[in-house]
Amino acid sequence: MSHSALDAAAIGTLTEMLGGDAESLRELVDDLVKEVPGRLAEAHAGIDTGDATLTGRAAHTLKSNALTFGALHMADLARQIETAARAGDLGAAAELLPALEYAWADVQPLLLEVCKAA
Amino acid sequence: MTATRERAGSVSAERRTGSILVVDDDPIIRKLLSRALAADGHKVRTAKNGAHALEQLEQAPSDVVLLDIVMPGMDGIEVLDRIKADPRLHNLPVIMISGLDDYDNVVRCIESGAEDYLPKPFDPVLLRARIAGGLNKRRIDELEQSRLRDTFARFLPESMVDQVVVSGDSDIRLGGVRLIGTALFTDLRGFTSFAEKRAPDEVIEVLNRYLGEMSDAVLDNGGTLVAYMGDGLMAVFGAPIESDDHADRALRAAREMLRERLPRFNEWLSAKGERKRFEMGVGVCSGPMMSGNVGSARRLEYAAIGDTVNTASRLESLTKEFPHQLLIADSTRQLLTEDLDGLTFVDEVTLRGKTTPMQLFTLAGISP
Repeated sequence: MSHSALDAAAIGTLTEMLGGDAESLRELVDDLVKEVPGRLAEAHAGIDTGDATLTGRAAHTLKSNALTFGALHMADLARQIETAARAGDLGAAAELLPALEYAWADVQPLLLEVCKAA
Repeated sequence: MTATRERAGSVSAERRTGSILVVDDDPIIRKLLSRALAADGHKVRTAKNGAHALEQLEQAPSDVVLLDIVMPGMDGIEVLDRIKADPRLHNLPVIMISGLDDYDNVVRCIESGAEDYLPKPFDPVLLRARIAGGLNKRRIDELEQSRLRDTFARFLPESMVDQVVVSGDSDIRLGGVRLIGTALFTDLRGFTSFAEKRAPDEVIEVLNRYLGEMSDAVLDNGGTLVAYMGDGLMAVFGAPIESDDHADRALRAAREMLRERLPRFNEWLSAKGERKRFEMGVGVCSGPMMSGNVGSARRLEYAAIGDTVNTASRLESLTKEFPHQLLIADSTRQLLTEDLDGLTFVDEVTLRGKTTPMQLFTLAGISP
């Protein structure tokens, strides 16, 4: 489970982009940990109020963030929610959203662990 | 990691740095890209949406823009269109940031003038290559602009050079425009016989001194130097960039030539031990003319063509038959936007090939 949730190569790429600066990586992970709950709440809010654009946009950002940090399973779920929301199918988005939240719950401790090791 | 960095280095042996504007609504992507670019020595600014990006570019230019496609409000496609529609920004290399699944939008952006695209998730080697490519394009554009500026600076007042170079209006740069302007011709009387009795280097020195004075009178009054013809000079005012006060500026230049510049030139000559004091002939005429660059791709010259220009040249010749060094066509008098002291009626003449007579004027108090 843990290995498929987070692609180690992606973290290596990120660190390299940052010029090997582990402190910057930690800061970015902190930002992500702060950002994701808000985005998930936006996705929910869109479903609750029938605002497919809001859900689609939140899912788009979650997908992009997840890809950046190598959370491939999470990115795939976010992509499916984005596609459903953009098609106006909030029902399908609502069905997938809990899985995305579980995926994030798996990823978060792994990211923090990677940062400690960096 | 080290291996990859070396690989990145090989993309561009001499890695240039520049100022990059990162536009993305996602704060994590903004931070990641700005840290990555700063680590490579670039100066980075960020914008969180399209409107903010355009504001930043308005305040100060960047060398390259990294622009996210999917953003709330004004999306990246619209920001790109606005950049490409702005003559001051349209050369700016824009690299679109996109997801790998957004192929259609990427194609559309490239068709709209985006330089390239950078897929998410980011690859550091590709990021460096894209930025290096954008900076190279920027540098080539700057060299091209500086070449163009040099070309125009030879005959345009400095204040106009940037306007022409930056202008996206290709008519001004290369094609022709029809406009109302004022043409001015000058001639140095008796220079040919003066030159025959002197050494070539002396002749050239005297000629350059004279043409330098007269050219400054043109450029300082916002005119365009079209050509030197031996000891003569042709200038236009209100072209290639139109202006309302071209007649006023042409006459101010003519007055400055005859009242200040010619006496100063003659004083310089006497200081050199020359007894000769020169007189000039100046002809000025206003009206419609065609203005543009003519020649070939290898040699380009600015030209103004038309009856107005021919008439100005003939008025300059006609000064030999009048006790006036300056003859002004009535059309110039009519187009003055302000009263000019000393404007005096001279005569009414019918120029060869014309059917209607033309009133001629001069300026009082300009003769030595």
